[in-house]
Amino acid sequence: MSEILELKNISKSYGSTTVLENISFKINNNEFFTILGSSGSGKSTIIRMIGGFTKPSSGEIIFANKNINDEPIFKRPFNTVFQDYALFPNMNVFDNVGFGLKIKNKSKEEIKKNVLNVLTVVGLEHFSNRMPQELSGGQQQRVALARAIICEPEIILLDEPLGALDAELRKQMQLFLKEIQKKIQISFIFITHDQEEAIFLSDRIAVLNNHKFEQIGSPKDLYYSPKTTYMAKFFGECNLIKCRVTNYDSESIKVSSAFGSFNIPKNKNLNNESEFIYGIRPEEVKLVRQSEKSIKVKIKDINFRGSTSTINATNDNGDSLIKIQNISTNISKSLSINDSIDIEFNTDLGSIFIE
Amino acid sequence: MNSVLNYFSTSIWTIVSFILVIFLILIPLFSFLSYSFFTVDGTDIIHEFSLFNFKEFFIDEIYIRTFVRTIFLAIIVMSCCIMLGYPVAFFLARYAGRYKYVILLMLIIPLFMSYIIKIYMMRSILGYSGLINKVLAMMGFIEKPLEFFLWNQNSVIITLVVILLPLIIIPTFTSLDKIPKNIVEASFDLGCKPFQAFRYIIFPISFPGLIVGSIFVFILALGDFVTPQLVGGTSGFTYGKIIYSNFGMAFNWPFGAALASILLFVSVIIILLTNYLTNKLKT
Repeated sequence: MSEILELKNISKSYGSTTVLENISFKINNNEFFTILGSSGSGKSTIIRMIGGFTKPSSGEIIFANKNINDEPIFKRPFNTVFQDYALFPNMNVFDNVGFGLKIKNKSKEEIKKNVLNVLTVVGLEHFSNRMPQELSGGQQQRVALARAIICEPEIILLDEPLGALDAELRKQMQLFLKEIQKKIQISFIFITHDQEEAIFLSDRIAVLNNHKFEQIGSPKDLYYSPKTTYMAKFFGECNLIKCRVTNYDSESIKVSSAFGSFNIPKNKNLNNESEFIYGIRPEEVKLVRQSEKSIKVKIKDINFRGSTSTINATNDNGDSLIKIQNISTNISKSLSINDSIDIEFNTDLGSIFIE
Repeated sequence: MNSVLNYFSTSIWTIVSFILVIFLILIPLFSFLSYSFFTVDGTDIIHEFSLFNFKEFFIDEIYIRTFVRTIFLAIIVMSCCIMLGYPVAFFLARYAGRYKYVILLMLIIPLFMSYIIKIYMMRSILGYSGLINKVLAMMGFIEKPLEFFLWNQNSVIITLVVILLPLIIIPTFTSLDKIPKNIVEASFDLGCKPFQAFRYIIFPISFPGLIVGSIFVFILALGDFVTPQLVGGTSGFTYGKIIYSNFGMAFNWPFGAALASILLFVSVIIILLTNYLTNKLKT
């Protein structure tokens, strides 16, 4: 996979308000890249800068080894699918889709051939004479996408394109987007605030928090090796336990916590006496028979949900809480509040966050 | 029960609106049209059907000539209004930022002023001892007042343009102002240079507004009779003024009505034609 676009140390501020701080990332060829962030986190600003609608306050946008910061919008080989589609109300579907080619002075026959082609790809071949106002939201969405695809850009920028659709249609369009991206082999930079959508669609996700990227990686990376406590809690749930190293030897590390002491595998970022936060997902906490390795906790409440039941348990003092999932139904049947249970962490899958 | 009441009240309003249209528009219009088929004898109106007035219009070439000249005048006024009004509306809508509605309001204020007062105002600006001549004389460019501005066709055109300009700015501004920002951005995104974005996107979307304004201006300029009366002198004679004089001075109501009917007929034709052409352009 080769890189086609790079953002280097991009910052953007309006007056004294900072929108983005030191953003850097690279886009690979044929990649579905998602920028995930809550509303107002500046995620739209990123693709508006790539598209050329806004200029970064500092930093470089590099495309094909060239700085394109000052390249005007119409010269950039990117096309945008806008949040509310922005179809031209004075043109029918055919002219909307063919507009990019018309501006490039392509011949009438070529435009016609390509438009019909692309309309077939998005499944709107029978709608070419309709006006945009006569289409449903999902159909307008497809026209907007077709209008971008036909220009054969290097990258398609999608600014929360599914935001205005209802849940059912959203699901359909997600599938559609994923399929079409595979088919046409163009990189997508996709903006959303919807976690599930991001996980479902993306090859890689960049999570935007507080004007900065928390982490960039594949959905699996983000889930299994979160880099910060924010990320650990972002996808799914995670128990965060304050720990201190008490014994550091070549084989394993012994740490103490509010729940007592336990061993974790070797880690070169830790040394004797260092303090850190240990992250362990509820499904990696096991109920076990009492042993020298196990930790004793007291059940605070049981959230019965059949096979996905969870237990909240506290330590002896009752000041720390831990969540346990994946309990065999056989066991959960017999448990009740205030029972004492023994647990063990699957320490291979725990994460260490040094603050 | 409720739906019956609802139906009843809706149909009552339909009937009321029909009655209003019939009594306030159609009956006066019809009686006015019927007058054009009467003739006069001295000061008496003879209530008998006759095509005399229309024959008169086509026989005496002064009427047709004045009519054609007035149409040209209206076209010139309309063109001037388009050329001045469109750029104003465009810059107002796209570049005036948050002050645009304040500026628009200032442009509309003259519409609330009396029409006559505005014409007198124009007279005091254009006249022999008016603002323009005074300033030019003071700066030493001219020795005696320019006669270019008053008591002729030019003064009629200038005055009409000044008075009618807001009528073209308002609908054009409205149609430009409602173009979403991202539609223009989308056109850039698809490769348009600024002029192309204007040509293919902004202008076509604002075109219907421009047409509405242009028709307003054209029709009002065509039928105007006060402006030529007050600033037109003897050479600034228009069709509207002939109609006016037939009602006022000559007391020949039937002939005035006939001339007015012809004006109405031509105006309606022009409106329908523009409508047809705009629709055709759209598809």
